[in-house]
Amino acid sequence: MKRFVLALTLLAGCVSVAPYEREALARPQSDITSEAQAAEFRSHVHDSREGATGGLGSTGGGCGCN
Amino acid sequence: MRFALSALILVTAWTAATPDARADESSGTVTGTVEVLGNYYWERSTRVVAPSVALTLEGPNGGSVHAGYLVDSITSASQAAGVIEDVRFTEIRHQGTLGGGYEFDLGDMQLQLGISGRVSREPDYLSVGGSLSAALSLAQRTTIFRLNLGYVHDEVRRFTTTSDGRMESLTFGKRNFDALALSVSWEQILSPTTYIEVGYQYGYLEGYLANSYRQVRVASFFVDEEHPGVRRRHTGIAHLSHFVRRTGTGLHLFYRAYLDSWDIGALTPEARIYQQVSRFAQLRVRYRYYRQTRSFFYEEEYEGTVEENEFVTNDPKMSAFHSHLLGFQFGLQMAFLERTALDVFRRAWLDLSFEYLWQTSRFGNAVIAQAGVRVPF
Repeated sequence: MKRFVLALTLLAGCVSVAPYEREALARPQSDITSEAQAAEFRSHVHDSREGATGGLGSTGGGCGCN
Repeated sequence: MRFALSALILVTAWTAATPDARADESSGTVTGTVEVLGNYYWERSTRVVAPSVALTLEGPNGGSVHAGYLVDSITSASQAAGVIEDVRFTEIRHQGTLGGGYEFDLGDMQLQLGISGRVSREPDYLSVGGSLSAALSLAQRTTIFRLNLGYVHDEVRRFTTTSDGRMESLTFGKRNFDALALSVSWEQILSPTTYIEVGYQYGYLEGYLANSYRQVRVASFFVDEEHPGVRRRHTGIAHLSHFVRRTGTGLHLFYRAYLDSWDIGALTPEARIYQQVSRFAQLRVRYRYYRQTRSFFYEEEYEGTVEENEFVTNDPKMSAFHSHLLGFQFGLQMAFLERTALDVFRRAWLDLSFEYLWQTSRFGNAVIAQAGVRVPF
């Protein structure tokens, strides 16, 4: 785990991708933030039917479906 | 609601009026998105129909605002799926969210600060929450560090049936809970086609964490379920995205590992493929696997006396189970409306999705369906 974190840190320092090179990352196939509202409902469904939650902003609670 | 609307108008006006320019500097105009979405969930004992609407605005000054409203119509075989009685019950939940943010340009880096609030209300449940967020972008946004602090206060009530058949909500003692969540994440662009995100969330919940309706069989008696008053949750996530230029394919891999103080451990790998199928159409295939261990106090039925069992539950989501989800989504950009009377919608997206969930818990298999229109402006 420590090696993984160290590798990512080194990688972050080495990588330089200019904004004009990010056309592929802006495509709807890469940038999936546009489906945030739909994903929120799906997360809510999973939260109310599974013991695990979180990691994507939800805290648990928020409805009477405990 | 009137307060929320007034606040939205004020923040919108501030977003548009602040003089220095940034987000859409070229035109100096406010941009944003309106999204209307219909959500549907079906399983053996529960149906949920949940239409929602959301608005996001970004001003030329670096300010942004978002607002949303959702109404849930939940029809269940009982007020809590899994309880003993079989009474069909419909409940309406209203949820409103409002938030805003501002990005400060610090030269080589950008700092975005945000605040948001949420109120969710149903006849026997009230939830009020808010969050503060910060995002620090480095090296022309190649690296982004995020920090989020969220708080939720929930008030739990229980319906009872009066002698004339009416349903009324009764408080039943001290039945509230509070939750705090601290999240940190790191997003990193690795190449012109690949990025990764890793994150961790700590959640602390304290108070009444059980369902106010669910009952458990202890020896020959049915008693209200009882959960520990504190729950500590640890969640780690990772997301890797790669775009294949030659085929126009977006590949996304997600992984979540979860552990809490009730001995529930869960792993959730997920893969999504976004495929451009024509100039204006996109298909998404999603597969998600979920597996969890049981909480330390879960039993179908309990032996011994009520006094001997401090914590009791037969909640299916406290049991050990696993699930598979397979879903399809079709997205169509309505560019064919260009130069027609509906030209204003030429950049809009129509999204339809259908997902099927196979799960081994008592909830049984389920369907999630969604249909929506997203209009950027």
